[in-house]
Amino acid sequence: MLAFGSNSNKRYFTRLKYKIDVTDKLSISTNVSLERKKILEPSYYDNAVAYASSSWTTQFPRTPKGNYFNFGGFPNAIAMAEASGERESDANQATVLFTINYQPVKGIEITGDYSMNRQYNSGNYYNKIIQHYDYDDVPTMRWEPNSAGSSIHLSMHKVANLYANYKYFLNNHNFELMAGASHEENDYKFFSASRDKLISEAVPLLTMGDPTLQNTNENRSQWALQSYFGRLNYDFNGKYLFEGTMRRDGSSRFAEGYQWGNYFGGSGAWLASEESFVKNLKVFDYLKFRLSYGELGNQNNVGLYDHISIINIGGLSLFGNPDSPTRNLVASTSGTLPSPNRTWETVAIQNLGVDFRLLNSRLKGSFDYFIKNTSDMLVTKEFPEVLGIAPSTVNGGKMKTKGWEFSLNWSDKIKNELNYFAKFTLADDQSEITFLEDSRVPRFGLNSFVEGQPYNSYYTLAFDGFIQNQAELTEYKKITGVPSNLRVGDARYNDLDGDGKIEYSEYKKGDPNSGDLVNIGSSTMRFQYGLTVGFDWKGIDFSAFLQGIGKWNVMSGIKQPGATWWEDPLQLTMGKDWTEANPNSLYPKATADGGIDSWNYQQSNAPYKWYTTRYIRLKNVQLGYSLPSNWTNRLKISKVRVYFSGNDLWEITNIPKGFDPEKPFFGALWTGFTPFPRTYSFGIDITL
Amino acid sequence: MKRNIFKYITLSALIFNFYACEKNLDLVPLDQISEAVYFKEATDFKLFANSFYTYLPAFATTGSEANADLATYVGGSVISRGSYLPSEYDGSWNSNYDLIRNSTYLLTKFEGTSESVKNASVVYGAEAYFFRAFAYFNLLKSFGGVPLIPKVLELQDKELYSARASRIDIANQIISDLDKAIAILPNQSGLSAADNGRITKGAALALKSRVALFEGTWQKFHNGNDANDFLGKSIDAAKQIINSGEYELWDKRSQLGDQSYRHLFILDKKQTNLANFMKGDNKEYILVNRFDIDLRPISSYFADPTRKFADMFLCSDGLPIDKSPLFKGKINVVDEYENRDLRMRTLLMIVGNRYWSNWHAPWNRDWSRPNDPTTGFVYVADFGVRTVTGYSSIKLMPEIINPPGCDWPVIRFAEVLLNYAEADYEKNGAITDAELDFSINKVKARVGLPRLTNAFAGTNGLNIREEIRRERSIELYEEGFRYDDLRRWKIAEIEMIKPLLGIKYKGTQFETDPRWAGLDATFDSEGYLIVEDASKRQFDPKKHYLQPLPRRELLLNKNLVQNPGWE
Repeated sequence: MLAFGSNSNKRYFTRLKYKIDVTDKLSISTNVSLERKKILEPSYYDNAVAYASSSWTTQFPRTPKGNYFNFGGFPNAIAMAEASGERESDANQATVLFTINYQPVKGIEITGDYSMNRQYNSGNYYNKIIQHYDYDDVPTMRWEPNSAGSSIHLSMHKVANLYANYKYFLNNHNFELMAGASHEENDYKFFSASRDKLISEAVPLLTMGDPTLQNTNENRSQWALQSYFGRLNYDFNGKYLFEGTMRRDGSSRFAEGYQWGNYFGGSGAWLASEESFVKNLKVFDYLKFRLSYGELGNQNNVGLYDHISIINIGGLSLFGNPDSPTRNLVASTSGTLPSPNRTWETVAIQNLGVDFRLLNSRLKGSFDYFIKNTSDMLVTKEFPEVLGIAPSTVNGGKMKTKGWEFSLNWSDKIKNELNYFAKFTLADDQSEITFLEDSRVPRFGLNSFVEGQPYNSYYTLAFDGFIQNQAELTEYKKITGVPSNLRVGDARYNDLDGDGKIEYSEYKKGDPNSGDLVNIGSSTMRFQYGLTVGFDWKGIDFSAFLQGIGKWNVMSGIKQPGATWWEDPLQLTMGKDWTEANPNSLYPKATADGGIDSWNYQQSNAPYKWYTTRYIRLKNVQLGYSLPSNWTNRLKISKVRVYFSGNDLWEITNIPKGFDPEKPFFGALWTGFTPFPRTYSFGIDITL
Repeated sequence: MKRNIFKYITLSALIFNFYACEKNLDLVPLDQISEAVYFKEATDFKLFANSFYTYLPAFATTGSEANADLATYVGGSVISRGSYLPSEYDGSWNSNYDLIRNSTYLLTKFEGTSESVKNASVVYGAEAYFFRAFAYFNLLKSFGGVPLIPKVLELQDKELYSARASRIDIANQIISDLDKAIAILPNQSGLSAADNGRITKGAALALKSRVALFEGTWQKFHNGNDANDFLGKSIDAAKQIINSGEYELWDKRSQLGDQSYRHLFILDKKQTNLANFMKGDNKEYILVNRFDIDLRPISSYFADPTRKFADMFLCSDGLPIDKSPLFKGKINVVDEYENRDLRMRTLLMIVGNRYWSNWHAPWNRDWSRPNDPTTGFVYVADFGVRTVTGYSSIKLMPEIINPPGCDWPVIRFAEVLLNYAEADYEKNGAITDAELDFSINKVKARVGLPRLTNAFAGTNGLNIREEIRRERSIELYEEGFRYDDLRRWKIAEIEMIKPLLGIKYKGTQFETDPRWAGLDATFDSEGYLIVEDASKRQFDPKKHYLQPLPRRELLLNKNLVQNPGWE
């Protein structure tokens, strides 16, 4: 929320639930929920935020006479929030779940369910004219014209399932068979309209705008999924458990003939704590070993109609009388080659796991090890740009991911008054691209797919410190590819293959014709962990959630302060750039030259670009107090709780101060800087 | 109870009835047209041809003037300085090959259409030829010979891995496409009112004269063999346009006085000049990238002119400043603007002159009282404003309207006249007075300069080639020509390594006036402000005449060979 301008955010939620037993064999239930969210904010909200952080520190908010002051090309952020007009969004959704359950004979159960999610979101906005002034109150920059617009999003998502369950017992042999089918579909509609140049800002409707300056837009899309599935379970005495599954999935995102995929899976488990020799150990209250193999289809990242050649109609071209041109539609190809023979990715997961409970079930834990093989993986195959259009992804890769997950949970109470708990989770995985259809040449920078390497690997030149004196500079400039205007204090990168040239292709040991790029690591997060602790005592409750990453390589996107002179530089390099007096600096010598800036600050393993970060962060802490129930009961209220809650209150990290450790350097602003908030809130929960 | 249950079941059944599932898996786009049903009508071809116009150069790309030697900005341009390195990808390479694909694609769609549709849409095929030529010319200028792509490529096509065609092959391909376009396209006067702004025969001829002049002089000065062939084509194409009578130079001195020339570039659909001329009064522009205050406003950024540009303007007697007795020197800041080419007084902002300012409120823009200091020209060019060089350009800078909507001139008639003069001179080694009057002297006349004749040049020790080049550099300033011109004339290796200088500081008003005094900068031996020292500039003749191919393209296609010096 902004401190200036109109801001509000309201949410409403209600739920209705019925279950009716029509006969003892037939039951019907419904679950209806309605949700509404209304947001009101300044229409130039995004500009207000962007200019608040990017404006120069010398920007005054107002002139002495109280007008909005602007400095250079920077608009006034407060004007953007206060004087801009408003935008309003009203998002509604209704969800209906309807279930029929029928048990014709004992052991057989047939379930049909149907759910429908309807979303209706409307939005409208108007922008006022904003006039800026210089310090002498002479009008300067003017944001115009004013405009108003309105939009409607409609979506309908429907899912229908029908399945039957059959259970059979014979002595200690238990069988269960399930088979069914499902259908899912989605419809989306969008319409928007806007007009510029309103006759009046007092009634800011689009009908007040100039009809020749209007924009309208309509979008529609649809998709569907169909599945058939079955499962067979068998267990002996609840001790040895087996399961087999199959499913057949079809998607509208693929062309006819490529729509369907078949997937199988099987698993076994052994409840060892039921065995007498484990019981005799008197250690485990529960001990279970699990082993499974399963396949699944994946169609994420596939566009709705990627398999069809499409002509897009839209855009704007101006022809006719040059002083009153008419707008003409533009037709163009979709920008990506269609991919008629693309199909599902297959993900096969092998899993080995153990679950246990110890010490009167106060300590619970589990450990899982898995290997995930993705085949027919959709990868972007690279072609020379003379193709003239973006190639579509192809089912051309294989990836292997190995990982494990561990969790430990302790909960206990003291004297029936103090309940406390602690929960710890730790997980890690590593992936490797095992096969690529084209033998990919790694490119400079981030590579999603390189055969034999982890997903998202960085290939860069190898940083070799700063050039410290003229002799070093003269020597280094003999290498081809080094900027001719490089200076003492600038970055030096290794000519690894020793051929006297800096080349942006992969270095292969001992090959002087290869290149100078090296793999400096992958950007995958490693060792993700979380710790939750809490207690409650006499109506007081407390919980804290800490979250962290053990190892994470991140590339800084910041550039040389001053390289673009109209931007206020970040403070972080101040006093830390290279000078003769400070030769062991973190940052290179300052420059306003774009070429030197891009040389020094290109992606590399230099310590000011490449951070092997790790962090721990207090994501949430909550302290609450519930009034004693004998007080509240008198008021016919079942519960009253007051609480304090705080988000992102504390962290330890090794990226430069001020950056969000969870989103380092991924800024929306041109300096690559996202300010993050620490949130404190107080509240009261009343349950009637 | 039981009745309630039946109600309930009925209600449930109704929900199913209202919102039943109705889709199978064979779904088609609802808001896009599939290619299979497109290209059935002439309108389909027309709409597709409209997409080509988005590739035309515009204001945002005009920083290119700072790539050469007549202008610069804070920090300078790496191209101008010669310190750039090969890039992994090249935006110009990619977008020009996109345009080549799209234009070729339209041309393939005529197959199988009816004769009537074909006849009605043949003109859009001609536009496709024009834009394909346009794209190949952009590539030729930057890279020399490039892969020639003969068809709409699929992923398995071996042409993806083509070697580079020779630059002559590319130039001939361009000329051949343009000839096909010229044969079909209508004249400007033959365009329907609704089609004003589309490609004309004149535009295709003008582009042909530009391309042929470029390649002809490149051949001549870079040891090629085909110079005269191309130069002849340039002359013929230019002559056809001049003789067609379709275009005329903008000269409104009778209504607008000495400032006439400046107003050509800032015509808009609102009043931008005292005589209230609008865009429709402009007969000089041959092809524009069209903008509009309301529908497609521009945003622009321009560089600051250097000393070389300021000194290039002739005095009003037609002589350069080192020869003319009319030149007033530079002691006072306004002195050098006296008795000069009118363009110097209209393209550069003169200290102390009053201009409109588009940031000011509408009540400060009263056309009835332009000279009233409270309502008229409210911005006084301030001596204290420090640009990088000390000079400020106002060419193509709308004064009064914000946001502005003036058109970007892609091709205009003045260039055609200059192409003619230069091609004629370079082909024959000389040019007659009649040919000079037929071409370049028209451009000179409208800015108050005397005729250039062989006798005038002889008497005053002027070199005709130099004068033709001077005229071109001034006339087409900020329109993206100078860097290409220096390279085809093969004088970049001499001109580009000179320091970039600004105003004369030592011994002038700048040094003594308190608003500029104490400037912390370096100056050359004559007292000129050094904006970029010669030691920082390079242009290696073995290397910098052509730009490096994008590195990624070379890695993916082993048949491609990098330009010399960039390997």
